[in-house]
Amino acid sequence: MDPSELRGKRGVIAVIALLIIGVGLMSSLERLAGNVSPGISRIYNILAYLVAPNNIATWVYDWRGFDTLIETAVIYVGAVVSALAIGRGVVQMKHYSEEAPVTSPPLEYRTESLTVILKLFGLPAAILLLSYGIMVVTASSTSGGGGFQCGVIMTSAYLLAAIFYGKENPIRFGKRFLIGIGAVGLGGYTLLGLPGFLTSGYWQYNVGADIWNLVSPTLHSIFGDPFRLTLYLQEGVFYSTPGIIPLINIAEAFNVIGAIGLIYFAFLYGWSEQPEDQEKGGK
Amino acid sequence: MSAYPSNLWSIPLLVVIPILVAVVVNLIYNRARLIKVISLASAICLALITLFSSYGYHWFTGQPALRPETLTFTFDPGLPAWRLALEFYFGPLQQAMIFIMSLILIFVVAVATSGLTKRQGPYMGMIFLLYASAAIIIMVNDFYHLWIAVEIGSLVVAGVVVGSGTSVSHKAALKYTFFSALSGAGLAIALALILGLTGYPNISDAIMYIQSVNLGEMSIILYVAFGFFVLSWIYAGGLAPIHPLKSEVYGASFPHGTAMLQTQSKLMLVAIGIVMLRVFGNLPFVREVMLAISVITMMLGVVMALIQTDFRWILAYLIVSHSGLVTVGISLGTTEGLVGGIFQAINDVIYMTVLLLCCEALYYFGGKTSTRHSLGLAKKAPWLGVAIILGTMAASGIPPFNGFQSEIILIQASLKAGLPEVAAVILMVSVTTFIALFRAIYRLFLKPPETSEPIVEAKVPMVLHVGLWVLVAITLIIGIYPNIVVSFITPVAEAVSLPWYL
Amino acid sequence: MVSVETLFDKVKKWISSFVVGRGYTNMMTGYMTGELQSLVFALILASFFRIFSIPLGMILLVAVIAGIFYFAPIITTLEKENSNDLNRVLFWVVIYFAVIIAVTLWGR
Repeated sequence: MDPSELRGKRGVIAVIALLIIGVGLMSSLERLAGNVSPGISRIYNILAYLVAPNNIATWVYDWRGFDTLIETAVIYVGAVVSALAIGRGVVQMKHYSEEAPVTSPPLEYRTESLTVILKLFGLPAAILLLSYGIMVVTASSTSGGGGFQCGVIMTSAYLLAAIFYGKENPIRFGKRFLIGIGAVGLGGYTLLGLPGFLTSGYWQYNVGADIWNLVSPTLHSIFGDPFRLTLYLQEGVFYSTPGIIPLINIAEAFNVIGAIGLIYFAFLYGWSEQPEDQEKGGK
Repeated sequence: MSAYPSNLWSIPLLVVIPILVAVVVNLIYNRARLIKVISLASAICLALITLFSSYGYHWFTGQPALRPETLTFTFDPGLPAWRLALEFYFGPLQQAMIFIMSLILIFVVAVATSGLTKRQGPYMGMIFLLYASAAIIIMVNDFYHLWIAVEIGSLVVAGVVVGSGTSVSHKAALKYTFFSALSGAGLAIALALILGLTGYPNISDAIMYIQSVNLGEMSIILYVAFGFFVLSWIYAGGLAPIHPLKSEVYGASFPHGTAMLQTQSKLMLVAIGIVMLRVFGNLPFVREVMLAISVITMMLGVVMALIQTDFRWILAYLIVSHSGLVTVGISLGTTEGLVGGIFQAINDVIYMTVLLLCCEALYYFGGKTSTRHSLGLAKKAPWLGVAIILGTMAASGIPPFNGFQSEIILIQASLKAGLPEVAAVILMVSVTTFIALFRAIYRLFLKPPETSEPIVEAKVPMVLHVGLWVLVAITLIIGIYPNIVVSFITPVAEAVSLPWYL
Repeated sequence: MVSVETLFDKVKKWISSFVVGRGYTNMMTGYMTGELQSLVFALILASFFRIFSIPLGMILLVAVIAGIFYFAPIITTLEKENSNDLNRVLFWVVIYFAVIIAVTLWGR
């Protein structure tokens, strides 16, 4: 349909329809205002201190940890599909092909035109961003932050370097590296459910925190002790351990670096099937 | 103690194995042999797990439930208690649906790995994730997780379509994902409204809460949530008015990919439809709305199939039309309706896969699927001609094939609900399916070729033959002994069903 | 006014506007069947409204029959409206959604 068709009768009809939808949605939101039922979150809040001091980390990676796994998979799939659209892994029938697969050429951009100041600023900024990413992921269970944020920060460092210095940039993430790290991330996150599954029967049971006493003390201390925290509060001194949450965060960070890095890579440089060292511009 | 465990072993495996396979095959990328071994082995594994698993629940991350009366925690899923964990349920219906899906996965994987060029890693990964997303939606009992699974499901659909790399498939995938933004956000709003109203992401808990309090004016929230829920139901299953985009998706991917895509979307229609019945079924006009959408989809799909000139697109529109057939039963919401709808989904998935595998076989005869040429293939490949005619008979509800059994249940259900019009439409659809398919079969198989140029012919892989005939046999077996499947469906249908009043 | 013969001619005219050659007869069967199917479907859909009130169903049925005589062949419109054009699909999605919201919220 030509967009101009929407100017006439159809446009009026569409506007009326949108108004009806808007009124319906607004009237329901108005009823909800001030009447939101807390439901299960009360119980989550009561129990949260038993795991990680960062309540959100406990919610995201413990109570609803399997949700987050599939969310993580969404990022991974997004990257794989984007790269597929650019040309990585396009398949054809062996005996028949209608047309040559559609591929996208790399973006044309020239790094020579950037000013010297930007180029001088770029490298330290990228290094700072990388270290900030590491800081964010290591403090995931005690402060705001976590694997996803770390991945996004680190890939933004990669994008910065790629824009400032072109393909020969200081952060030289290759395509095999990015795919590998993504696989390690998602695979690792998935497999972190295994210890709980094998011992307690519950997939992704937090064996390190073990708040329901379902696993043996040995396993509890293997996964729990490396991350044990002592909390000095007004009410007294408490010991807690986030268990597998920090590990999940690291896996999540790997996955996000791999996934978003692959999207950047594919969109910036296109996709070709030669090994990296034979490509134009590579070493 | 209830008879069911809260840590059934098979549930996580059915979700995690496909995800891990997807990661691994994506990593090894172009080693076709290894990909074939891994994916076939795990597909068979998944089928066996489904077959041998007992029934029960799985509470992911091992959090217990809180009993409101005693304020104690319990790991017994039989007691009424607020779930802290994410809950999946595996029962007879889940077993039947996932087993059929696993069976189709085996054939799709076998056909794909033997017929495609190298570098199939990402593509095979997408097919496994398609399975995972459908398995999650079938088993999950949690609004939030349902949303995530629908999201990943629609993304993966785009991946499977884009995998063939043609410009048509790129366009189809782009358009389809464009709408995923709309329906995904819509489902998220529905979820937010229900969560705000009840506070429980677990579907059973939310229903329990809604039934225990007097909603009064707040019930408007449920109506709006239903509207958004329907939007994503329409999107996931490709019902009207999204059907042009969904049929484009079906037509633009490889036929074996379409087999998996249609399996996913029909089983999703059933699963989400049952959730909608459970949550919203008692509200006035809810089932009427669902029924209207189904009937329109059925009719538009079949009429559009009639005017297509390519066998792939005819199949694409028929799949859409038959999705409407599935949802008619579910929208009726009566026991017979539900049995008919779910049974139809299972049958549909099987006979459409037969037809799609036949379509795949056409690629080995030069790949001409347009009905503008006549090919006279019946002489070259009589076995293919027989298979496609048997598939057509199953699709158009001719006894003794499985399509007949479910369509007769659907017709009876709609008559019993006092809706003879719906029964008439179902009959029209099954007759028109026959016309639409036979029009193509006549041109491709029966009519002598118009030109004398020889048809290119390549050797059709053995697995395609095997898959085709095994599935044809299944259509016959289910057609003769429908109780094999119906006995799995009836308990759920009885539990969920609501009487239909006019 | 349409009889089946003139309907055939009208559909034929529509098809020959974009098809030439041998595919034509084959498509004609499809389009003609599609046209008749959709006409019958429109009648069934109109009679559906009897579940709300029987007079309404009757009025709609008469209206649809009258409409058929003036608007047939509808298969051309149907094909156009069912195109995969994004704007068109979006338009219909909005309409459907508004109808669903309106019916469930204010239909009681």
